Amino acid sequence: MFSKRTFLLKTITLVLGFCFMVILSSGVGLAKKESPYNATQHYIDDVMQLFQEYEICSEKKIGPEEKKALRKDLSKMAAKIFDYDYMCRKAVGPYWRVFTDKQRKQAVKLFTELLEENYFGKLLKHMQEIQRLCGENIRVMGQEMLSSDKAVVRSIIVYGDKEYPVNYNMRKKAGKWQIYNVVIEGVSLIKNYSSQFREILGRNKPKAFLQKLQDKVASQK
Amino acid sequence: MFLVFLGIFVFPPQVFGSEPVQKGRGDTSGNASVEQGGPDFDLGDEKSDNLDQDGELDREALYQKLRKQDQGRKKLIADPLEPVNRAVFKFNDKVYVYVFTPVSDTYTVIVPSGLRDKIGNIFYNLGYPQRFVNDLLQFRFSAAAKETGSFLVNTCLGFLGYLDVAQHIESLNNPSPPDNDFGVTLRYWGMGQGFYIVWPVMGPSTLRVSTGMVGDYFVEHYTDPFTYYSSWELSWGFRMEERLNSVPSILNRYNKMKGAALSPYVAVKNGYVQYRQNKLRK
Repeated sequence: MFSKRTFLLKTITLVLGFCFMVILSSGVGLAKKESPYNATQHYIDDVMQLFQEYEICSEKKIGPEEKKALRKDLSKMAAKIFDYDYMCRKAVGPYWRVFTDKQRKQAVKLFTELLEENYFGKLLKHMQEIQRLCGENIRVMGQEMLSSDKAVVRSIIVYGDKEYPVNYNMRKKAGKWQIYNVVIEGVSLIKNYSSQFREILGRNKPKAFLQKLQDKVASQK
Repeated sequence: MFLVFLGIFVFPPQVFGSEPVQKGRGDTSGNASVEQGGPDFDLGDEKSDNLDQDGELDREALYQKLRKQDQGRKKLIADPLEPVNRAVFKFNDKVYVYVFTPVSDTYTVIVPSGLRDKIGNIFYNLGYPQRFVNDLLQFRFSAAAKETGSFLVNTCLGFLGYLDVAQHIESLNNPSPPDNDFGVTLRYWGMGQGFYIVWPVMGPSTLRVSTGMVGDYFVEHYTDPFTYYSSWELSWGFRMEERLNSVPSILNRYNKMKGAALSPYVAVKNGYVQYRQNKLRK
């Protein structure tokens, strides 16, 4: 009877110990959940690692095939970093309600293409601009929580002899922090697009607006 | 054990983070306000949308309603001269493409980017009187002192400002605002930004900035050593080089903005006004 009781106690202790370990490990998992500050730092590290893989910082000449592959990798990485869907919604503003689901998807796709083409498609044509970003030239300075799922992360980019304050508006989506706006020297990218989109949408219906967006993207290629 | 269990779920994950978290909104370069930025970011309430007889969303009626609302919203800046401004903008674009671009391309071949930055440093350093006078007019005595210190250090030890030695001296860093002008002073004295103006060749401006430029011109003119000690040709040559040296970077920015814009006129106007308004926040 006594040995049975001891056995039971041992079993309970073991089970509880196991539970404790599971909970503790999940706790460590939770503790590791990223803050917007850490997420930004990791995104910068990932991009820098990609640059290293392609030996961009060693000023090696990069052939057209390699550029194509780099562009594809950058595009994949950007899809993880940026919340394109929300960016587009913000830029279109209240008119988003008039868009059909199909039009919304098309708008996000075209807007993504426009941003990608301009913000790294063109950079790849001028590799020296990327090379100037090599090294320790982006410093993440701090974060400010605006709500439980929105934050601003501040950084400084050293470009040439000058320092530029660049801030990122971030939003938590499915547990991950993603960037939905970039503010360079106080100029907000999404506010800028919003002013353009709303001016066009004030004169044109969504269909015509999407046609303009499509024409613009086509003219970039 | 339950306490451990509860503890993990009660405390939010941020508690475990150790990264620097800065509070306060005074120094966020306009970023926090992006979220509180009023009408530009209202997505509206889809629940209150009009539905037609079949319960479908009446998109036409909603579009007309939103358009009306949007026309009535407060704009970033008034633009009563829009037709004239747009014409000047088009003219400027041609000047930038057909005159400035070849000039800039030639200049960048002769003067590489590193040297352009250094020449820019010299001109920035010699623009000290303008910043100093405006600091005083805004009662920013600490900034005026920092500017004076930076100017003396960079002029004497940094070869007229070719090297920015002062940036390595902490007490001389970040005079606020870093690029003070008479437009900022006018704002300090209560003048509104006025309306948007596109000047031929010079490009975007506001009524306040344009008025300020007149004040800065006089400060520049009366503090320019060339005015007193040498010929006007040398003075003008000096000013021309100052403008020329900044053309490649301005052109680069303009082309990037134009390339990425769906409506370049609106993009430049909005970008310029946001930039100026941010400058005033510093």
